[in-house]
Amino acid sequence: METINYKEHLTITFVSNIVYIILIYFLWKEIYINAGGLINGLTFKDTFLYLSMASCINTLYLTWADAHIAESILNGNIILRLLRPMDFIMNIFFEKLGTVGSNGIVIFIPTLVILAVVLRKNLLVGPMTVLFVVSLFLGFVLNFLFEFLIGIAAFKLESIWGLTALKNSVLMLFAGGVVPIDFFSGKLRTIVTYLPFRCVFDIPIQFAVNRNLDLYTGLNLLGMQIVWTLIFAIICEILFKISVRKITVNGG
Amino acid sequence: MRIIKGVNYYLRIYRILIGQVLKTKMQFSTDFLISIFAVLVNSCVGIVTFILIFHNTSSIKGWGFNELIFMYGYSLIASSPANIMLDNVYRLNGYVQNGEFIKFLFRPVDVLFYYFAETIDIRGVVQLIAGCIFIGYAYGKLDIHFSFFNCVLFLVLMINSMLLWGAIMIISSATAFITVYGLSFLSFITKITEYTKYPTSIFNKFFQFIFLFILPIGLLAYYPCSFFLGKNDSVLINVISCFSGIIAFFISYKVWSSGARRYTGTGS
Repeated sequence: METINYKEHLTITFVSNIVYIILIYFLWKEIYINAGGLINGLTFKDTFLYLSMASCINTLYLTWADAHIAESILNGNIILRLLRPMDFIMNIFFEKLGTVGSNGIVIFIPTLVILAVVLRKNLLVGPMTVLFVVSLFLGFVLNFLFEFLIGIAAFKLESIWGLTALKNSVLMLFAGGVVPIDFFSGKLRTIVTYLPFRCVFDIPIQFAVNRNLDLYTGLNLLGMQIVWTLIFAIICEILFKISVRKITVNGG
Repeated sequence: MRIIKGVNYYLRIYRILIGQVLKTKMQFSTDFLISIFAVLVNSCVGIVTFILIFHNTSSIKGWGFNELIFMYGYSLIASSPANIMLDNVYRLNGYVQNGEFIKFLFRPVDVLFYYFAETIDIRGVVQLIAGCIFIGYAYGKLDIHFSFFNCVLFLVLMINSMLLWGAIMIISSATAFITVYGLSFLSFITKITEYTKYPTSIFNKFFQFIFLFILPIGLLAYYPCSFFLGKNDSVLINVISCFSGIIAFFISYKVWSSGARRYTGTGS
């Protein structure tokens, strides 16, 4: 994995994201022609911006943490990591945080600037932007924890690709990556509101596009992110400790 | 006579090689079952997407819900052979980088054949079944006249799409011979092929041209389906939908093989 030319990889990811956004534009423009002006309270520009941002955030969080962790487990390198004085989870986390940083500077911010220019009135820049950044950070932490759980599944499984594919499709659907969360209705809507997946895309996006977002609701959303992050952090710690104990018991 | 002997020979070898692969894979381990489950979930998420969209609109560029299900099923079936047999595309970049690829060049069989016979992905079979179910469902809902001609036409279009899908995967992986970022390009292509389940007519003329002649994802499902469902009058496109696959596959084979033959190892 380290032999991938990083600069070219960033370029291709950037282009890939732009192309995907173009596809979103055409598809939803067509859907809105037949649907009239509003769907579930969102105009075409609202939906387009929402889904484009979901795609940008998805690219921002792209670190392949699950694949790298699984790889180090399967080829045994994890032993070297565990011998280091720093806590394993934090070690990987800060490494991936660095990746997010470069993703952010090279891909996320430029693409967001393009979106802001194209959709000047819809992308909100103001005091909420501070909370937007905080929310993005929290969203990344939770996404990282999901990937961590999948990565350490490599202790039990030979390959994690099935789990990765599963997590990606479930996450995309329930986090607002395929259709905005507002498009869900009825009981499904209630369920989706309380699932943790929302915290990865939907909640950060709210801080950037939702005109009616007041401080109180905003803090509530951040609180939800924090709660889910803590829950999963505890789950990860426990499962990791159990797995590691098993390695040492099996002689090594 | 000689050609038939060649094909039989390769079929026999493929059966032996894949038999080895299957023996290691078919242990019905948890991982295997999870993968199958994941494919099922993926297919269903596609359907849920359509349902959510069609909650609010009755057609996309003249394509109704059942017609889109038909096209979705069609694309799942068309991509299955490529997904099953060309699973090794993801490892080509690694092999080329660390020099291991050279071992594929030393065998008395065709390089491309031998390389892709190294592994197969059984989950593609689940995708195939899901695709058949969706098409079956849509067929029941749409008013498609069942006739001998229709069956033959469908087979021709489907085989063409399958070959075209394989060609795209093979050419995309061939970038590994030229650059080090073959993997990123491959995931770019994978992301684009996600849009084969929507009608290419949603795009403007510029992109329609690109998706027909340059990055022919339109030919993977949209144009064949619109031909089959009688939505397309353009004779040119209909003909292309029938023959582009074999031509593209031949080109991709040549490109990939020449890239492979020029490989000389990492040679530091």
